[in-house]
Amino acid sequence: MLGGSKKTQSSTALRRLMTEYKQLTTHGAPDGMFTAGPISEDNFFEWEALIQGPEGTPFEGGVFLARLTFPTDYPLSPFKMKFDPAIFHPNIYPNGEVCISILHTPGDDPHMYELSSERWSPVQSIEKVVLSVISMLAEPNLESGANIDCCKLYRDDRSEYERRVKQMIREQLGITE
Amino acid sequence: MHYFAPQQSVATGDETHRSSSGEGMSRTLQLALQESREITPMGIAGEEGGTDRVPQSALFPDGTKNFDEDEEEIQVEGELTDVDGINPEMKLSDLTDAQIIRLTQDLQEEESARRPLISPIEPLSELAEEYATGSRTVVDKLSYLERIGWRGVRRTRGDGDCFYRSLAFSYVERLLLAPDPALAVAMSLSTLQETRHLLDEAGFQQLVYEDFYDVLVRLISSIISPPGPYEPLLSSPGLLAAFQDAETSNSIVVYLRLLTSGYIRAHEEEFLPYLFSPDTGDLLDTRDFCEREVEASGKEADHVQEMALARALNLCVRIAYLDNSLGGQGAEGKVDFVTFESEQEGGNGMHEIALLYRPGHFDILETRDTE
Repeated sequence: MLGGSKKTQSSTALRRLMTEYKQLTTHGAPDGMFTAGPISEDNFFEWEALIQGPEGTPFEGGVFLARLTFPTDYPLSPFKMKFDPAIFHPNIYPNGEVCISILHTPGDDPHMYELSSERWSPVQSIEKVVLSVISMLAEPNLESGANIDCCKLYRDDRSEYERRVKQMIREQLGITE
Repeated sequence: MHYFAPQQSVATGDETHRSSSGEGMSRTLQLALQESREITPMGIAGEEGGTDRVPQSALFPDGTKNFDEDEEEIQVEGELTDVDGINPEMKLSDLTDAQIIRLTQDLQEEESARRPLISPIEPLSELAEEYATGSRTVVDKLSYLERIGWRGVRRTRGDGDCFYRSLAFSYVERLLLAPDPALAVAMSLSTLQETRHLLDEAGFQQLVYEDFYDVLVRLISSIISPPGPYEPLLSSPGLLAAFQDAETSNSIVVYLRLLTSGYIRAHEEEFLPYLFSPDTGDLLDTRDFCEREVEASGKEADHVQEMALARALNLCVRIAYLDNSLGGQGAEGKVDFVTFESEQEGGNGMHEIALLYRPGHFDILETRDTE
């Protein structure tokens, strides 16, 4: 263990990812709100998640694909989450990357999150993060905006915001009017 | 007790640490370092990301990003790219906030790259030399420590994990050097076994802690039984190598953080009056405190965390305060020690652990002055 530390650089990360995968596949996500797993069994550091748009929000009816990229020192460091294709949402960058406090450690604060917001630590998990992202879809946080136009629209013209979101969902599902 | 003052845990002292060993540092960064104390009393860089102490408005000095003037605030990530054109002749006060933040980050990265997570022992006198032109009080205190038998210091990286890492290293080293290692290791493993219940009761899932637990237990077990066929027992160089290996070292730090959190949660009634946010000075509830100030990597430990961990591991930990204050009983050069003892009866077959505290940073005190 002490010798070949280089070889086992990411063994902790791999073990943890396999454990989380096993848990997610055996228990499933609450209410079947999402599924997640490695894209290929050869690489446990790249996952895909399929997320259902939360009911009672403009995102209802949509199914969104996100890519999760894990660092080799996971779970000490958080993973990255990117919607592909991107989603029109105040806290999602136009390139699809998700901007949420739970994916940042308390020391890493590029977005000036509020002190009370939940942060990354090794006790978080893929499931907790995805559930936070789902609740973020329902309730955007304008204090750490990522898509400036979307933030403005959400604040100033809620019905137009909802129309844009629904239109995006139809386009992504290939439904044209 | 002054220790509980919230500003205690702000990492100003680490600058002493850095500037005293800053030969390799670029001039600009040294400039930033020297002046940082003047521009903000809290120090420009907390050990873990001073950025969260910069007021929001500072990021947008010209207000252009603050397009919003009424109702809800909308903040979009600042563009911290305008750092060109810094030169050593510039005063820090002329730099933009973005430039200062960038300098701080560079400085932290430089510091991290230079110092191993844990260093070999060096004589305490070397530390004294760094203060030779500085504080007389500090030099006197260091020679006092030397007189009472602490001849060496083992430095740890100033990354906010230094208390946990120092304590963990010292803990395993004491087991390794115990008069009866087999007994000390057996007692330690049984204590650690018990700590799992603490974590279960605190509501941590096993998947969250077991990998970190295994790393610590495997390391301690390797003191008395080889970790695998053809693998040697743990030696002093092996211990140092293990703690310099980021994965092993950080896993152990995480376990101690979870354990500290579990202990505080289990003894909430004792700790609750002392659970402050070091940033705002506000009282926090137990869960918030544990999540934000204990479990999160890079968050410095304060009195509460130190006491909780010493008790959870059934250790006697003494912390020597190396600062400019005059020693306790008025004796010149005397150093104040704060001692944390476990509440359990009976010894643990180990020598006490002693850490050296300079505001914002912990190192390890050793009785030897070389490896």
